[in-house]
Amino acid sequence: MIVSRFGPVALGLALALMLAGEMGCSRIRPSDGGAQARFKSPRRVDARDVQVPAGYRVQVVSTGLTFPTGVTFDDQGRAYVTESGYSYGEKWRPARLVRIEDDGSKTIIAQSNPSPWNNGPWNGVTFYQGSFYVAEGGEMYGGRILRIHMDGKIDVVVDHLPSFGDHHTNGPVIGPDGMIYFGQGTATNSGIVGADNANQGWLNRFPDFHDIPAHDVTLRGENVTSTNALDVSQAQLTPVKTGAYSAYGVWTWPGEVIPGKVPCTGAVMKVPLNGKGLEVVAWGLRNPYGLAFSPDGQLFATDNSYDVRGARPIYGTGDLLWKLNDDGRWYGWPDYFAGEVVSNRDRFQAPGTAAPKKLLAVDPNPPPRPDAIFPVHSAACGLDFSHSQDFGYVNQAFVAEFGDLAPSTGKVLAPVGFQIVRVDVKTGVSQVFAANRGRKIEPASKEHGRGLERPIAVRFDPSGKDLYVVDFGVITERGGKTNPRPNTGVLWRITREAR
Amino acid sequence: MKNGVAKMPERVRTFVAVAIASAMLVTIFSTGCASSRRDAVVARQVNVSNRQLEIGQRVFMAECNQCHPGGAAGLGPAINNKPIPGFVLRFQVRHGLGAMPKFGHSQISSEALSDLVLYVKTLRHEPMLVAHR
Repeated sequence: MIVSRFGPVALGLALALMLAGEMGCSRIRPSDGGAQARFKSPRRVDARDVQVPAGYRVQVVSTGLTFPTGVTFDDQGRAYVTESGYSYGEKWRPARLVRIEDDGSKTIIAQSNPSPWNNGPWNGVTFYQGSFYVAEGGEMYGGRILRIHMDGKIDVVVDHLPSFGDHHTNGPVIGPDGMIYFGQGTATNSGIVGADNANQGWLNRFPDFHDIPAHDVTLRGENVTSTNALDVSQAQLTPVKTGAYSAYGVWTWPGEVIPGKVPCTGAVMKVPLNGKGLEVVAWGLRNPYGLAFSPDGQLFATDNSYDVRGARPIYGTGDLLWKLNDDGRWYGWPDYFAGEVVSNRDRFQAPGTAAPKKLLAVDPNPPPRPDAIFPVHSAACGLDFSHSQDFGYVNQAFVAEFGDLAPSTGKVLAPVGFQIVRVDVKTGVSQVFAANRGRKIEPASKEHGRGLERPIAVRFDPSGKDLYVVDFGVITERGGKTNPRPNTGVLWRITREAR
Repeated sequence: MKNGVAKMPERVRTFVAVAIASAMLVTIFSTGCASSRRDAVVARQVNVSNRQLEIGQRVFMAECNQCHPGGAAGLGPAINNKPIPGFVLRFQVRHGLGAMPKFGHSQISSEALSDLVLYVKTLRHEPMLVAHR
């Protein structure tokens, strides 16, 4: 009776408040990302803290790795891991290729120069015909593809890749055609150099560096004004105006043509094993980090999307999985997300910032749609395809989600990523495959657990029975500073138990 | 029964109405800003048992999962821990709210929106896979 009389009013009030509450808590609540945690060394690990579907088992293979990024296997099935040598937060260590012995101990195969000659990060490794191929990120001297022999001797296959910026040379994988395929990330978040790049560290080292298109592009002449990031004493007095594909402080004008060049930034490229004849497979990507060929020989790449930072922040863009056609096609960066133009302010304008404007006057081609979209700031990184019934989920992609770096890359209400997902690439549907137990999916350091921290790479062993997971280790964010912790990386193995 | 209401003193009726509204408010805010309900949801496999749910899942993955991963909080708030009625979900999708953009008919058709709402409701109730230790 009371409900019949007061119900409609109370219900209307409740719904209005529900909507207001939803809107309010998104805006009002502070960021609560996975890196916003307190970590007390040492990191402890326990495979029982990691949850996987019934019938699968998790094991710890090796601990104490420093910034590990990739895993591969030699022709005897032994595992090798790359330790990056560099992490966001400007922490440098020698980059290394180490063999993981049966007892989890490490044997150093090759090592880069110590800082400041270290040219890390080493982002990924693959084994092919008796040698290892490593993508060297090139923070100091430019990106390179290295060939490392079993005795530790290092040859340079490709060098002078434009890799001084936010994102590096990644991969590599060997294609069915015997060529080396690798990713090259962009210099900037969304095409314009800004103060955020000084925070990343590289703008002070290379003030003339900027993004490079694969082909000529015509600009709309959009420029962004910021405080002077290179001269703090003049920060407020001499604002700096910068345009797209240009060095910090260089203006652009409508109709200006930026000449294309190879190697470029934001692309997947391929090169024969002898290093001669570099070709563009795809461009207009932002940070193509993980590359893998599906069992039917199709190349796929993960692509880390825009952040809410810098001169042209872009809001609400999840990471992407692309099936790449080897035809030199443009995939939309810096003007599109998943085929949608970023000047749509309803979707891509971050609260409290200006709406992003389109930078290119002419699109090189209509941008395609991705094959899957991952959560915003999940940092979808390494991927591999299951090809064995012994493991299951054949033809599905397994993707390592490194996890958010909030608040420096943008605010989140809860940790995002920090898990392994499997993706049906035909439907774009992804499901959690491995993550920590607990109320929320978050890194072990935040929940005071002993499970996964930051999965960065996944790779099936040659038999296809075991999935190896490279866990980068602990990174915390506090007071605007990124703090990666050495010796906290882990190599995990997930196995299907006998059916 | 109507007579029963009419016979209640005015002050009592006001008190009851305020009490109901307050209870609803507490419920709304306690769930509205709460953390996502993710207890043991890891390795959760949503049982897509019919064509409607299958379409709803695909739409969710293409348009919603980015901000509400698996229905939990991420960039946006959790939607798997609140009893949001279907018509409110539909309104929210079509008109947007706060940081959430609106999705027109060209992005999500009426039929697909019905399937999406069904799938989102399933996220609240789907039993979890038993995890293996």
